[in-house]
Amino acid sequence: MISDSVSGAVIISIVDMILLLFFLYVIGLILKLLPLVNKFHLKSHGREKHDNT
Amino acid sequence: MIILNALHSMLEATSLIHLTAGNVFLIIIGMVMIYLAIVKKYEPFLLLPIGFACIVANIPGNQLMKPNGLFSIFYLGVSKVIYPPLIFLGVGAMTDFGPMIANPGIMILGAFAHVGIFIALIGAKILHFTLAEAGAIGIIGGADGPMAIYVTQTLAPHLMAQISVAAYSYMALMPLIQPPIMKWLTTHDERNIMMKQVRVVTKREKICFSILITTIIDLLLPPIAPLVTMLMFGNLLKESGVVDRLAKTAGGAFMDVITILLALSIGSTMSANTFLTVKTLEIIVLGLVAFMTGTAGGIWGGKILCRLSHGRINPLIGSAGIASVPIAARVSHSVALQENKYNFLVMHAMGPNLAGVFGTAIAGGILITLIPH
Repeated sequence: MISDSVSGAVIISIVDMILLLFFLYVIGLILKLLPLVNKFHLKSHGREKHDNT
Repeated sequence: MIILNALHSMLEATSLIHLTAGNVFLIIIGMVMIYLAIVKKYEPFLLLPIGFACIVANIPGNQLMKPNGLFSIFYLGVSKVIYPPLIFLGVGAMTDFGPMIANPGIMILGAFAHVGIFIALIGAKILHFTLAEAGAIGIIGGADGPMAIYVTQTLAPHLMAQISVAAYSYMALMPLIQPPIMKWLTTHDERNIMMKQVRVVTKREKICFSILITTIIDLLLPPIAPLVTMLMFGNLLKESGVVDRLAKTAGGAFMDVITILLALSIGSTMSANTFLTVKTLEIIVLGLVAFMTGTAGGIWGGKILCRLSHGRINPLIGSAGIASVPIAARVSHSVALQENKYNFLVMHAMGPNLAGVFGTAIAGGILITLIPH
């Protein structure tokens, strides 16, 4: 249980920052792997658009 | 005598007799907000309705403000946390996550720019706010209005007026707050760095991104699931390409309706009897500290990445990690343009800006989980 004090606020800040870095790292990792989905060839009725221009 | 009595009765029937100095002060503040929106063009979509509702909220006895009045009913969308996920739906339907997907390395800037949250949190605790109140005040530093409302409603609903007004006002004033800090912390050469074009992201990647992020965040951080789910659903509507009408409505007319309701609800909380307190002043100062230190943290993060990438990343994009899409990215772009009129940084700054949206949501979710309320 985190105490309702300045030291409690410092502890929460440190834990939150570490977890924030972890979660953003995980999302970054997913983003790095995302181009792999382009390797699967699916049947499509039309050509896929590249629209990030 | 009869005439005097009649005039007195007339005066009592009007709101004039109940008008306090506090009401007059906040009416003037409302007028300043409207001035900034119309003349200075500072986020008029927010400041105009907030300023107008602030004026209305300080006219005593206004029917709109009574328990079953229109503004009180609008406010249910804030107190029941309906508007924030709906705003996120619209944001998702309007946003291209391509710049973030194309450059995963800059995700980390979404964390650096959130150092302001923690400085404000600790500062609020030093000023004797409770831990739950301090957590809600800290989230102002995320520069994400819907997220600030979401966290405040959970941790400290009694501070909703002060926190939402501080968050939205500072978001609107970011073009004033950020540039001096950005210029102070960077050198001329750093501001001049021109970044390379990011890779093209396919539609398939963007669709998979929406589904994957929803699944992962909903599994790992349930407290923020409503916001992230709606953000990603809105983005799926846009990227799927098969429901253009729904995407246009979610990011257009629907978003406008929710913005009107939300901004009027926030402005209507600024009545003198609840708003003019020492706590409000402290929250407004802490919010400013959070924005300034968050901007500085983002710039320092940008400088670190600049060193690590051997000068290929412009540190100015770091301050965009403070969320507030797309205001912060536009500020990075305009500061870069002042140095070099050919340095178009906006798409590069959108990467950390979007990472900042996730950063604020994650930081807020962790605060809700860790802080007893």
